[in-house]
Amino acid sequence: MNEEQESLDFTEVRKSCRTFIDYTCPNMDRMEAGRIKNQNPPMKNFLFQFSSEVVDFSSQYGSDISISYTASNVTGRPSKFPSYGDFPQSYVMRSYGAWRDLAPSRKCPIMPQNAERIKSEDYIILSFDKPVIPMVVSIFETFTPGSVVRISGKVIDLPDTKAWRLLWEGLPQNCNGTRHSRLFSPKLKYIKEMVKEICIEFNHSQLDYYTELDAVAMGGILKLSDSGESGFVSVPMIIHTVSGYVYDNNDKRDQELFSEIKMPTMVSEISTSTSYDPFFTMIENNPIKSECHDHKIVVPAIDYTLQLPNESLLQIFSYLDLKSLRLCMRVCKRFYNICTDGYFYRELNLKPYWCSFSYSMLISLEPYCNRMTKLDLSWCGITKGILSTAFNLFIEKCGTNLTNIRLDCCGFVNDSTLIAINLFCKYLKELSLRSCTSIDFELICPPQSFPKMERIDFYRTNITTDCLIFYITCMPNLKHINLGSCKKIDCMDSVAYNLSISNKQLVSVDFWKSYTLSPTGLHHLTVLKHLEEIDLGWCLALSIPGNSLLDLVKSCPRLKKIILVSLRGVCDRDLLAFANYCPLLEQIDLVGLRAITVDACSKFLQKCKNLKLIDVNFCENIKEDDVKDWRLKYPNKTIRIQDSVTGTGACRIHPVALDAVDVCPLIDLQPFVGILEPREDAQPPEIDRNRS
Amino acid sequence: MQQIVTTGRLISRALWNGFTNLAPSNSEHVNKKREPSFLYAVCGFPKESSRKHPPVKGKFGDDAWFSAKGKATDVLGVADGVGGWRHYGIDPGEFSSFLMTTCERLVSLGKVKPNEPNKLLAQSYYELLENKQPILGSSTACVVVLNKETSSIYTANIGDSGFMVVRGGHVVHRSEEQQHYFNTPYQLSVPPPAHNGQVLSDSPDSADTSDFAVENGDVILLATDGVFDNVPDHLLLKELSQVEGVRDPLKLQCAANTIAWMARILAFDRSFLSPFALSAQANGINTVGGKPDDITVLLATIAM
Repeated sequence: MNEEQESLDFTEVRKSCRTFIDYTCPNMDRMEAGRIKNQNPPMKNFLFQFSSEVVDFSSQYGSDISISYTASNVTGRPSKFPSYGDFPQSYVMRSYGAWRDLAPSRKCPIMPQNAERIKSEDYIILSFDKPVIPMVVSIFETFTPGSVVRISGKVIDLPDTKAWRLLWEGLPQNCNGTRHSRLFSPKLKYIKEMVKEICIEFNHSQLDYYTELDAVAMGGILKLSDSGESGFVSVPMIIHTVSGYVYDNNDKRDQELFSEIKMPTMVSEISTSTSYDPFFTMIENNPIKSECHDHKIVVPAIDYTLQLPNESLLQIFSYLDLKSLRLCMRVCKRFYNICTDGYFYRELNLKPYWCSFSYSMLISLEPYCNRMTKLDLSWCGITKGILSTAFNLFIEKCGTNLTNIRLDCCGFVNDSTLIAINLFCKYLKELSLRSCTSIDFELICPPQSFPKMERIDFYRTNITTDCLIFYITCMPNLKHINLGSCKKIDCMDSVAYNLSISNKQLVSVDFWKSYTLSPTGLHHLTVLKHLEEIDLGWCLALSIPGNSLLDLVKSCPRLKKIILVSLRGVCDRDLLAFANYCPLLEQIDLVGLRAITVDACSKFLQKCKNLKLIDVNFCENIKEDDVKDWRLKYPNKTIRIQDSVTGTGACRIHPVALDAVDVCPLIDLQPFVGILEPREDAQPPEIDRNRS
Repeated sequence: MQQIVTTGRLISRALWNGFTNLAPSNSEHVNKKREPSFLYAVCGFPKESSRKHPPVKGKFGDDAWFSAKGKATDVLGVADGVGGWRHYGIDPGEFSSFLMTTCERLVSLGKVKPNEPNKLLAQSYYELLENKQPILGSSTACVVVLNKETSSIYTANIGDSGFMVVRGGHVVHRSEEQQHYFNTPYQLSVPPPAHNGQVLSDSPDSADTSDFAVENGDVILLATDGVFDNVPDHLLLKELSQVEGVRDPLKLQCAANTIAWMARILAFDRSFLSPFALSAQANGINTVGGKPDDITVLLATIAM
């Protein structure tokens, strides 16, 4: 009897999932209209919903004042799915592949041994209308899919620092060459808590090109207590069925690991000290990052470690991540002494633990951090576990030797934090404030603020022209500066002028989406002889660059990377000048340049021996056949162009993609293959031109 | 069947009226809460209908239109791509179509304030520049935003597309044509880089804006110059006053079809003294006959 019910309910779930997809993909509904009529209405307690709001994100291709390629496009129903292609109606992030790590502006990793097993580079947090017990998360990817590596849910009614639960984690899926949109619904871990917000993390390192997301949906059970009233008896039954296969072995292994570690007898004083150690408990209770290590710690009968000198142990322990260090701390007194050595905390990277980051975690580390030189607290503001005042105190205590600080996407960073960093970190070389939108830049730091500063990142902050000019004039050694998407800068020309006067050492400069940079401003930059990388993408005032670009490349022979996306007026003359004057050129982005011709491009490819990447998407004169020839001729160069398959309405889920991903068993994907057949009538207008 | 429905509706309405008459205070309350909305129908013809290009929603030749619903707004809009770009190898329809679909997205994403229709046009125009694919060309545009809270319409118009509001058999409000000189309307444009400066390009700020309080049953005609250049006002008014207060979508559609068809016939009538010919004569060009063009008619009534 019970078994019968189980199987029945399972088909119910599946049906409602399918009906949901049928209803929600507008591009499909004409074909599917007939089918839907025959279907049962969705199950009462089972709710599928599209994300209603973007809470936070780390980066986006578009600018905040626009709606093209921005994060807000991911809300609501899919607008382009199942079409495949590069659409402005989707959410696109700022990077793809390993190209950023090959550029002159690459950043060195902080505390690399502490990095997660699967590194995430970007995230987006989405909120839904109603909290559910999550059973399905569907991600509608319309272009170069495969970069989702982690999905976590935020449980309602819990403090932020304790609310995040890991729902799914996996390696980036290599879908390169599939050229079909993908509905990605990985098998989720079953949690019994209600989730309203989810965080999706991405790793772009495997991607061929920018990934694009059209929509995200979450399906789950509305409320367990309602089951009796609504007449839907067997919700627990489903959970039972589901939980049978979603429980991951990993969890159990972790539990064993922890229990094994806890068992050995511990010196009493240490056990008391650790029991008050909030950081340890934090990690221990942290279900999201509980992957720990695969090996088991076996305690041998003879402790060889006793025979090793402290220095050797120090060396061995330096390969451990923070969590393992904290575990070793509990082994014995000697280990405790070694593990608390400031040597291990010279570099501190808490980004992998963002989901449980709180003030107490920082406080627990404070005693060992007096020699700290590098600090990475990126993403740690998501949980709102720390106030700016508390962080300022920490900087005051431990910040004297700091050379690198990364505070990407930290909501707690405000003007006072900047002042504190300025006051206490005299040796600062790197400050990264990407997407720190809560800084107003109203309080200006005293002069001589950062004499040693080499790298500063203001991507997507609210920095103003005056404030920025003030900063750059007191950083004579500046080498890298990122001013991308700073919407409050109203006169980039004067910034460029000041850069040219006071920062002669500049190696890389990023003007992405700086609408106010004109040819005059670019002319100022010609004095920067060391320039290796310049990003002029979407500087719309530069769309007719005149001679400014020509003069720039003539005077900057070391240029290795140039981004010229959408500078529509760049012509063959400029391209050939790059080839003549920049022999070191490695990466060039020419997306959307109408005027570039095939001849000039062939000459360019011939001359640039070091070229590794050229992107000629949306260049009207360059056809796919030319690119095919070039690819044969220059096998070492990556030439990006939108393939003709793209956007022709090719819209089925490719079998390869199906095999490659861990498809959620709840959704029977077989019917989609039928639904998502290419259609002739629904070609997006953007593509028509491409083909003709 | 329809009879049954209509009788059913009459009965229920009568019943409702009976109730509300019994409780007048209640009826006031109900009236206050009622929000106006657009009931609209679309009809149009491309100038040259060819089998090659199958009809696409939101497009009639180089004309484009959209309708969208925001939080407290209903928005309608038309745009007419400037045909001259064909000589440069540019499809003029693409520009207008992108402009309108972007307007639609902006409204449905809730990025638009109801009282700033010119900002809607401006933002849609700047979105063109944010697209990786360079979309070149130029277009006239006209949007009508219904603010449901204040029950008034806010309009922005650039160029010679336009709208008229009809109440009680009279035109109570209409747009003004914006022209640089004869047959050259104001236009939003993204010229090819080499032609910058030589091309007429009006900033979206030069849009003509107006606001007007609407009433239940008002008729709004939103159309491109293919209609206004060919159909004289008195003929339009005759058609429009017939659909005042009409709630039947079918009737509304019929009226829209009639206007579009009328425009189509008159456009190809070589002896007809069309508004376009009159305007040409006023500018010293001696001509008669209609002006073959793409035709788009959006006919809306205000239903409260």
